[in-house]
Amino acid sequence: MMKPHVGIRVFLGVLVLGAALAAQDEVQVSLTVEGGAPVTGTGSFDGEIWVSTAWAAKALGLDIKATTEPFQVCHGDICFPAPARLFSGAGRRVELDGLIELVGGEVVSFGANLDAGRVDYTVRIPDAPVASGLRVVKVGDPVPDLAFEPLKGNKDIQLSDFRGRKLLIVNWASW
Amino acid sequence: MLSIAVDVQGPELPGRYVKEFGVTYPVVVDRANIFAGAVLGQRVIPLWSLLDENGVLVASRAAGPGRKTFQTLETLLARPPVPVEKRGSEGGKTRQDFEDAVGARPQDLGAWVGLIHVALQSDGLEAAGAVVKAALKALPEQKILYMIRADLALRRGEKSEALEALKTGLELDPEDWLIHKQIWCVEHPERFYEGGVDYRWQRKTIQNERSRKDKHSVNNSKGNRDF
Repeated sequence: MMKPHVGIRVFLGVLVLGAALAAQDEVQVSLTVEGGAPVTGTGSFDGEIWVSTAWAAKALGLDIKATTEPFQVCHGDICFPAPARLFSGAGRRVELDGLIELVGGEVVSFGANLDAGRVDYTVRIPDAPVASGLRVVKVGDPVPDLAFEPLKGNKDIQLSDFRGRKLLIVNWASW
Repeated sequence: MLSIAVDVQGPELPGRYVKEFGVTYPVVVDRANIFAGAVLGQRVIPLWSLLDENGVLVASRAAGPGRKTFQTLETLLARPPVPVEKRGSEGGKTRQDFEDAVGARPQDLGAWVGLIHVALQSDGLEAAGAVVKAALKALPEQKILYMIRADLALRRGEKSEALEALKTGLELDPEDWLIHKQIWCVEHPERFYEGGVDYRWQRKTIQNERSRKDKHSVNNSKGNRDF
């Protein structure tokens, strides 16, 4: 079965033809995150829909850092590195379908009004991304009691060694 | 506070910075990036995470030190303490426990990681390597297992084997910035540890890698067209 976001590209292929005849590539985008209110904005179309990064962040409830590399998109407490191809105009524009896909979202319905140059998306954004692995821990979940090799001494340090205290963990590297 | 260095080459390299800055809090090494990569699903650092008194994740952000980070942390740390719940320790599991777990749930990466850890501690590198091999049969697309393989190879001084493992891990997740930089670091230690990190070289390397990739795609598309 064809995925909706692929379908919308087909629709927009027709739309861009109409838009070209009208000498314009602007589209009005109405975006609804399932269960929320629609947010409208202006985008452009070149085979993909591009919208303002700030608008997309607000409409989808994301925190997008696209000014310096590595670019990243945070959804709640989980951040995804974002490929540079997703952005244009020094990070001011973002490709909408790619952004939705990046955070594990899906387009659940869409419509295109060719005469009005308007597209309507309803998208589902998961509460938390699902990744294969040990488990992606969400805010509110207990973290597995991992053991780590210490820089000093021989005894492993376990996360449970800190129980009873708040623990700030900082990940870094020598590189 | 717990500082976790994601250095596949072990504690020596981060240890230089710890010594230089006179760090007083505990610093550990997570050679295969289990915490940030597998548990939190992150592919970039620096990263901070806050756990409450029960080891529950309160917040986690891929961000370095800065005004916003400090403000967020001050707010979170000012929250009243939560009562500590009685919970059985997950530690103290034996090799048999983990062997039973992977026997019952061969797709359980956590159990494999635990088994590799105890095998390494009790029986050494060769035994741990055999477990990694078995884990990869069950979970061939787990990039973390390739990071563990790279770690074990580096412990044995097998740099080319480690690079091969890291590159396989990166192929599985090309957007994993951590593995990407680990590869650079193992291939070009002089760009990281001789007079500081050479960021100019990193920018140039990114550009070169991108243009190679673009060229490759153009060649591929030409190939398709000709065909």
